[in-house]
Amino acid sequence: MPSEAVAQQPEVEPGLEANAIGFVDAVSIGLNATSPAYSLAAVLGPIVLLVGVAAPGVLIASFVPMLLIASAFYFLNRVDPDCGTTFSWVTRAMGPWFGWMGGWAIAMTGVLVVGSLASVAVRFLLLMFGQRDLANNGYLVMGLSVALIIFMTWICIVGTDLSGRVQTVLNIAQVVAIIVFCVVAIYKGATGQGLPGAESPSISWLNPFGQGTAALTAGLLLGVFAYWGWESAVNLNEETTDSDSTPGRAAILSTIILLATYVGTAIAVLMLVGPSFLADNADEEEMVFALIAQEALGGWGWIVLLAVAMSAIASTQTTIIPASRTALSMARRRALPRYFGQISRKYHTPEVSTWWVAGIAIVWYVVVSFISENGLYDSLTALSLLIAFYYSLTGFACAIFYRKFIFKSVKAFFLIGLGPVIGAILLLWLLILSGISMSDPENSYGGVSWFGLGPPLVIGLFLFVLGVVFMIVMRVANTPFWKERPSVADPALVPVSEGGTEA
Amino acid sequence: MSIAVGYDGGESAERALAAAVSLAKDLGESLLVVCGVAPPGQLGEEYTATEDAIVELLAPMVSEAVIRVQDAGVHAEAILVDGDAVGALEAVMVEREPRMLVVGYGESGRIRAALFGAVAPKMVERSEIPVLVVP
Repeated sequence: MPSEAVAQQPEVEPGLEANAIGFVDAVSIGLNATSPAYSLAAVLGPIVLLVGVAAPGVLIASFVPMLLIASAFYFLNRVDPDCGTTFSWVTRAMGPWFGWMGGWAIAMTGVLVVGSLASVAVRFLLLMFGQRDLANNGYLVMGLSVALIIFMTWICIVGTDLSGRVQTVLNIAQVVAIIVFCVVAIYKGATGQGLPGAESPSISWLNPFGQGTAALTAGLLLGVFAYWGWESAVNLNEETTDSDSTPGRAAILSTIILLATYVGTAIAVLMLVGPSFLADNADEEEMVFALIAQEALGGWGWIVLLAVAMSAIASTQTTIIPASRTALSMARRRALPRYFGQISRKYHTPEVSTWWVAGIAIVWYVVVSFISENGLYDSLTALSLLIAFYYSLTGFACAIFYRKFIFKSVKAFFLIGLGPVIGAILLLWLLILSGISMSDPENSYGGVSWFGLGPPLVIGLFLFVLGVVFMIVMRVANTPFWKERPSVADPALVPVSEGGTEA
Repeated sequence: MSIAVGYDGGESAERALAAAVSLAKDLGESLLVVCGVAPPGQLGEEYTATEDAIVELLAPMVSEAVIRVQDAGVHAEAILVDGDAVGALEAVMVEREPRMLVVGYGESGRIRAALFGAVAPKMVERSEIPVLVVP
């Protein structure tokens, strides 16, 4: 049998690449990963509450570290284009200890946010159908949210998702709904139809430093959450139809759209209802955005509610999948037990890690709902701490991995070395300042104190320590992962203009 | 010319393979055993690690299937494609120009098929060559 040798080692044929994506789809994926409608609903209220009219400025300011870190993602992705992310990169640049914590942070961020996504989706859907009482019924919302998480997990495991085109349409519809809201709210505000507390626009709104440090750091941290996932837009490498320019242009466009909608919505909210409205309705948490939408669009408010709900539902999938894949990837490199690396024979998805992510997410969501008065805000702020941590790691990893090249050209120095390091330092600084300010419960949402600390800090520290414990357990188990050693970027993959040898 | 058969190690894929083997024997054709290995869902974090895991799971099943086909006296070749099941067959259709496709009907359940569609109907819709759907 002459072809048996071939048959025994079938290989992925390099020429056969199905499902390449085009420009509009790439923009759409960049937007989808940040879920603008959900992010605005989740964080705009708290940000305005924290920093008042400085909200637009804070949203712009928190984009700066994001931009610098995205540069790190872009360049790391190029030399390690396996669509791996923080876990594999940090491991390669800084060794297994840092890599492990980065991977842990990513998986935990996915776990933390899923409950919030599901409950926002459920609440906004109920509100859309005018069921305000039901939306305020905590147990009903919790039950429906858990059901939604299980359903979306099942979809992740069955493994088929909506076609790219349907997703693109949904993403664009989401942004259009936000823009409609902005335009109407700004028009109403400008023509004196705003609420009594509404403000007149001022250029000083763009200055983030108008408030105290505690408010500013808390606001910036939530801003980082709002842009979280945006780096995916620059992470689409060879899978796009024209890999040289499509991802770059798609990333730029999705960024402009994101910035414009975030800052525009913040301005619209200030002009329509003003900070006092948010202060009066602070206990509504994410629902306050629904109130504002109805204030702006009246009977058409459902457009925004639907956009937020769809955005949140879509996000559960884009969150569960990466978290479970990170766990799978860690298991394959023996940073986690092999058990988590199992692939479903039937559906070809990481079944075990997906159910674990969902299971922990559900437990987490239910427990936090019971013990915290501001569950959403506390979870999201804790989540932002973890995000700032792993983004910061990625920024440092980029400069370290490329250390042999960054002094060889101006472009490499700024984009690969200095930029990511400044981004990483900014985030680290934000992390430390937030930690200090959260260690005083006076600064927490509603002045709640756990063990004398702000609840988000307790949550963040708890998860971090849990990660360290698991890491030590895995280290003691002495799996092959711990023998991995840091390396540097391969010159053959770096263009000549950046000091490499790639033709 | 050849006959392409979609294969993922599942039960319906086995039935499709059996049908394809007897057909290939009668027609004196060779078989392309096609398997899509792209992780379902979107691109993004740890995509390749997931794909590697899928290849590790499927490659032995596919090569074992190819050996069985060859034992039955039909020339066969395994083709793993970086795509989903439908994308894999489409890619092979373009690259290798088989004379027909053989696919299983799947047993994934009505809810799933209604929500996402199944491979066989999609193939019938998109194929330019005859498709044999094996129940």
